[in-house]
Amino acid sequence: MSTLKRAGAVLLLGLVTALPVTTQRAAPSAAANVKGVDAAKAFLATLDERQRAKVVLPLNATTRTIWSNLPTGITMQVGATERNGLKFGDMTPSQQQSALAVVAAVLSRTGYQKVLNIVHADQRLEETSAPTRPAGNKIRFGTAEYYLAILGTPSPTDRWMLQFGGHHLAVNVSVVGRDTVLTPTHTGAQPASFTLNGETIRPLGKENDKAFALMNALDAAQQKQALLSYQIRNLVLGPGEDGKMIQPEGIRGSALNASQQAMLVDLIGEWVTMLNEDAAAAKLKDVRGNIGDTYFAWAGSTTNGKEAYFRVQGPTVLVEYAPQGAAGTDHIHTIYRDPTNDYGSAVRDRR
Amino acid sequence: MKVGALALGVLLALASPVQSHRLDEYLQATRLAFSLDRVVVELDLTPGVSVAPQIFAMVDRDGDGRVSPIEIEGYARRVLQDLSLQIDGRLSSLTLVRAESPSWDEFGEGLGTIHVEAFTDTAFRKGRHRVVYVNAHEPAIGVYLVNALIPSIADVTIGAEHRDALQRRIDLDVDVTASFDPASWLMLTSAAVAAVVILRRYRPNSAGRMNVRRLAADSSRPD
Repeated sequence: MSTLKRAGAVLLLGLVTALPVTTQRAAPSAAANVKGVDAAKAFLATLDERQRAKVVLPLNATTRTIWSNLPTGITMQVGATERNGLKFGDMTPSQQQSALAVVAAVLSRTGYQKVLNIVHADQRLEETSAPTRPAGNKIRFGTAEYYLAILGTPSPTDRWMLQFGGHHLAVNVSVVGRDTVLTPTHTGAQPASFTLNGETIRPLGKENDKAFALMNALDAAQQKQALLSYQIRNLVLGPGEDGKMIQPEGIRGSALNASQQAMLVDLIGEWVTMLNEDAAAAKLKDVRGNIGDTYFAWAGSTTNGKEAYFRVQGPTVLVEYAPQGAAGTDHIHTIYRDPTNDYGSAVRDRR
Repeated sequence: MKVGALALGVLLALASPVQSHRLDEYLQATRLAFSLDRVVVELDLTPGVSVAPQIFAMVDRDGDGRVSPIEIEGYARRVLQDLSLQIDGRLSSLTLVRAESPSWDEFGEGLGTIHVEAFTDTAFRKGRHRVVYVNAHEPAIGVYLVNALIPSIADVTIGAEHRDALQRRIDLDVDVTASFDPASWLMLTSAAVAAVVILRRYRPNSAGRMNVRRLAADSSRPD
């Protein structure tokens, strides 16, 4: 492991507790966005010219789509061979800290913690897979392979976008003045459960547990409606599938009782509340308003701990959760989209 | 064949995959896109680690360890032969428009995806149409996804969908509220061609690039 990589791993571990996080309700969205702009500017000020040229890119229909679930060394679904931005392995420890401060500034406390947990999982994957990796193999996991990019110019009034991602993570935050949009965003985890400093970490554990709880809160007739009659072994609308949508399936929200609907909102909230508190609150209000037209579909076992795929699809939200390949429950991919507002397209259209 | 065996050997040796990526399955995800005059079939084919050498050998016909444009096109055509698309009971022939292969080291990790795109021209008339799609490619190792995308035009909507348990087959109702009109299409096309000709005449320095996708690109990459 290089010095930088080691420093990055140590830094991330330290930041779990060291970075200041908001514990009270956030200030209004505009203030939250100013916080993101200030953090972005502070990060950019730490970079040299060459690094800044890597980080700051134009925001357009091509650049914003360059993100993936895949590790470094694999061609992404959109054809690009490298993520946008500068990777942690090419930053100094203090630059890494500034970069993470940008991510923390646009996300909620829980969202930021989730991001860190996903990165920790990938660092664990790197540590277990690197010793047997043959020389010449280009695939890399771990902390050093997470990239931060700023598309456009950070501004409290104009459009810009923050991308933070690596293997199993693509956080795409589009900012347009007071509006902040998190879609499309990919989260994943492998291992899906691991121990860190004596604590069991499950980066996507709540998503899993809340979905199983909802499925098991349905009566037999409702479960029958939710349960799909075929197996699903991957995300349908994962990375690279921008602008596409499928027919909703499963049980419709209007067929759920109030308690079950609240559980469905709470499940969707696992993705929505990654974003800063005010933006998430606005989005959750929208989700609640459409809950009657939101579908919940399930494929696989209904016993928590076993393999199951689920999808939530409503007028302004799509979430998929898909166990992967041979590892099943220990390797998870998810996707969060808004068919009406990916990359803040609806916000752009309003302006 | 010595070279081929060597390439496969190297592939296997390099394949030190993360244990929980796909192993013995060949993930085949199909998306069907409908418009008034065309059905597009997009396939993403991802062989797992332990079946990757078998699939790579089928693609890399000369066994040199690299996938040439001709080889990936040949494999894509072989895939198309295993697909069946019926519209209102009539078998439709698929025209290949895109075939892309991952590099051979991506294959070895179980993370490389072959992309295949094909289409069939049709002329949907007003009313309900029954579309049946079946993927019979490599059934012994295949795991499948098949989905119809919501059409981008309001004149075409997807109705009932029925899949088999493995998602190798989907039966779809496609509802069309306006007929494809060849005369209007011809008129629009002629107008577009005329506009392009006029624009080119007055923009002599324009690149004049054709908006045609390359069928395949050489996917082999030097290390």
